[in-house]
Amino acid sequence: MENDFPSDFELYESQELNSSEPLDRLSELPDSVVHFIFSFLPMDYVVRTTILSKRWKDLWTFVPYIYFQPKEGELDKFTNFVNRTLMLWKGKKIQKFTIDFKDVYEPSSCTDLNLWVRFALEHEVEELDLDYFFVTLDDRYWMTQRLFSGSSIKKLRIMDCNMEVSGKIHWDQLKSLTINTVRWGQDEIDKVLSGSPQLEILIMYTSEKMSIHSGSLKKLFIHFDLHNHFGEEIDSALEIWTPNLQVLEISGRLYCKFFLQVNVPSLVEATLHFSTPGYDDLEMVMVRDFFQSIHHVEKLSLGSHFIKELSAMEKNDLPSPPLNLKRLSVDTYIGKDVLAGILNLLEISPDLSILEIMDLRSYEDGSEFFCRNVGGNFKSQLELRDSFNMRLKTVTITWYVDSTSMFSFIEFVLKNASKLEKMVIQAKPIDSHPPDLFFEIAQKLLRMPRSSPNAEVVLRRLYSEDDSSSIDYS
Amino acid sequence: MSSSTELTEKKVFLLKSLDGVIFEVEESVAVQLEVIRELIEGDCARPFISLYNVTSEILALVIEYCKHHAETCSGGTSATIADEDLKTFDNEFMNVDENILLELCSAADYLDIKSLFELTCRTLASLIKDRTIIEVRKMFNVENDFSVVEEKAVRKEFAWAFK
Repeated sequence: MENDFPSDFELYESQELNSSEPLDRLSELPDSVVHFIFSFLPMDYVVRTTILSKRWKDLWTFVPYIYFQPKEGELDKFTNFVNRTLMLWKGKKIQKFTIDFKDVYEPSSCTDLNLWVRFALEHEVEELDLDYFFVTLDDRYWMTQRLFSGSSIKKLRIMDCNMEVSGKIHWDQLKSLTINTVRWGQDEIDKVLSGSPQLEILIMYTSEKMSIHSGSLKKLFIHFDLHNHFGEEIDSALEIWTPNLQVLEISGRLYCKFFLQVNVPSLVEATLHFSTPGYDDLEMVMVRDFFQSIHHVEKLSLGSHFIKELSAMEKNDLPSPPLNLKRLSVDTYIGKDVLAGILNLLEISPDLSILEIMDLRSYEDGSEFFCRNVGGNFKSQLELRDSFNMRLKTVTITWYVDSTSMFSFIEFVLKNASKLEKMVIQAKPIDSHPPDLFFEIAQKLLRMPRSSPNAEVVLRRLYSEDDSSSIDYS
Repeated sequence: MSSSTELTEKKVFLLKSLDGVIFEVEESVAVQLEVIRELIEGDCARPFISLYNVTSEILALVIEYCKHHAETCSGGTSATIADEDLKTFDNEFMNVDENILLELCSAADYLDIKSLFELTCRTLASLIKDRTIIEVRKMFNVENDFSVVEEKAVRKEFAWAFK
C-alpha cells in the first residue's frame, strides 16, 4: 500500500461519478463475488441468470457452491432439474454441496440422491450438507458407502439419514461433523471417531448410551432427542473422554436416569441445558462428581436441571475443590430453588465475576409459576444463610416482576458483593400490574443496603409501550 | 465525551479514500479490515493508508459498520444481547439502495471484511431471489446484449430451468 501523502492528495479530488449513464455494477463484480452471492440461492435461481446477458451466460456453470431445494410435490421435475444442472456444470472442485430435501422424499429418489452425493465426492467436495428429512423412518433408503471414503470433506452435515457403515471410515480431512441418525450405536460412533483424525467439532443428536473417546475434539455438542422412541422409556448414559475438548454442550430431554461421566482437562466452557423427570440421591452424587471433574471450567451456562440439584445440597455435600468459574449464565424458569442453587454456586466459585440470569418463563406460565413460589420462604431462607464475600463485578438479571424470591436474591447480592461495578435489572411487567409498580421497584432497590460503594444499578422495563424507560442511579 | 482521551494513548490510523477524504479510526476498527490487520500484524502498517478503490461515501459507511461491530463485541453485554443488537443494526444498515449495496459489497471484498462481505452478498441474493430475470435486469441496470434471436435460443435451450 502506497503511502504518499500529501503529494497525491489533489489528484482524486475532482473525480466525480458520471451519473448520467446508469452503471451496471452487478455485472462488474468479479466472478468470485458473483459466485458467493449465488451460494445463498438455490440453483433454480442461479441457472436462470444464464439469460441476464452474455457476461452471465456461462458464469453459473463454474459456481463452486451448489444448493438444491425441491418444492413440495414436484419430485420428478426436481430430479430432472438436478440431473440437467449437474450435467452442464463445468467447475473443477465443489466447495459446498447442499441438498435440502425436506418432505418430498419418495423411496424411488434414493438412487438419484446417492448419484448426486457421488458427483459431489468425485469433485472433491469440501463441505457437504444433506438434509433428508423423513428419510430416516424409511428402511428402503440406503446411503452410498462412497460417502465413508470421502477424504476431501472438511465439513459434513447429515440430518435424518438412515445409514449403515459396512467398512471403515476415511474422513482424513474432516474438521466438523453434524449428524442426526437414530440408529447409530457405539460401533458406528467408534468408526467415525477413529476414521476422522482431525475432527474438532462434533454435533450429535442421540438418544441412548454413548461413549466418546477422541484426542482431536475441541467442541462437542450433544442433543438428546427421543422423538424416535415413541414413548419407550430408556436410560441414557454419556461418557466423554476428550483431553483437548474446550467447549461442551449437552441439551435436550431425557426420560429416565442419566449418567454422565467426563474426563475433560482442557475444558473452558460448558453448557448444560437438559431436563430429566426428577432427581434422587444417586443423581445428586452424579452432579457433584460432574462438577468436581469440570472444576477448572471458566464459563458455565446452566438450565434448570443441575442447578436445582445444587440447591438441594447441604453445604458439606457441595462439590469441592472450589470451582474456577469466572462467568455463569442461567436461563430457565427462575424459582427460589434455582436462586438457591445459584447462591450455592457463587459460594464455591470464588473468582466468579460475571453473572447473568434470564427468566425464561413465558407469560402463560406466569400464574402457575407464581402459585408454586408463593410465600416469603426464600427471604427467611436467605436470612438464615451465612453471608459470604462475592467477587461479582457485573450482574444482569431479566425477570418477571412478580417473583418476590428474585427481590430477596437481589437484596442479598447487593449486600454481599463488595466488588460490584454494575447491576442491570431488566424487568418484564405483567399486564395486571399497577402502572406505578415500576417506580415502587425502583424505590425499593434504592433502599437496599449495598456493600460496594461504587456500584451502578440500572433498572429497565422490557416489553412495554415505553420500552426505553430506564432508571439509572448509583 | 471524557477528557481522558488525550492521556490514554490509543493507536489511531488515517485512512484516505479514493476521492481524498481522510478518516481517523481507532485500531479496534482498523483491524476489522483484514487488509489492514495483515499490515499491522506484519508490522508494516504506517499510520497513513490510502485506499484507492473506495470512495469517501462508501468508506464512511464501512467505518460506521466496523465501529458498531467493534463496540458491540467489546462491551460487557451478554453474547445473546450483543447478537440481537448486531442483527438489528445489520438489518437497518442494509436498508440502502442497490448501487450503494453493490459498492459496499465491492468495498468489503477489497478491504477483506468477512462479515460485511457476507452480509452484502446475502442481501444481494435476497434481491435476486423471487424476481424474474427482466426485473433483475431493471433493478441492477444489467444491459441485455443478446439479440432477440439469441435470447430466444438461450431461453429455448434452458426452458427446463424456467418452470
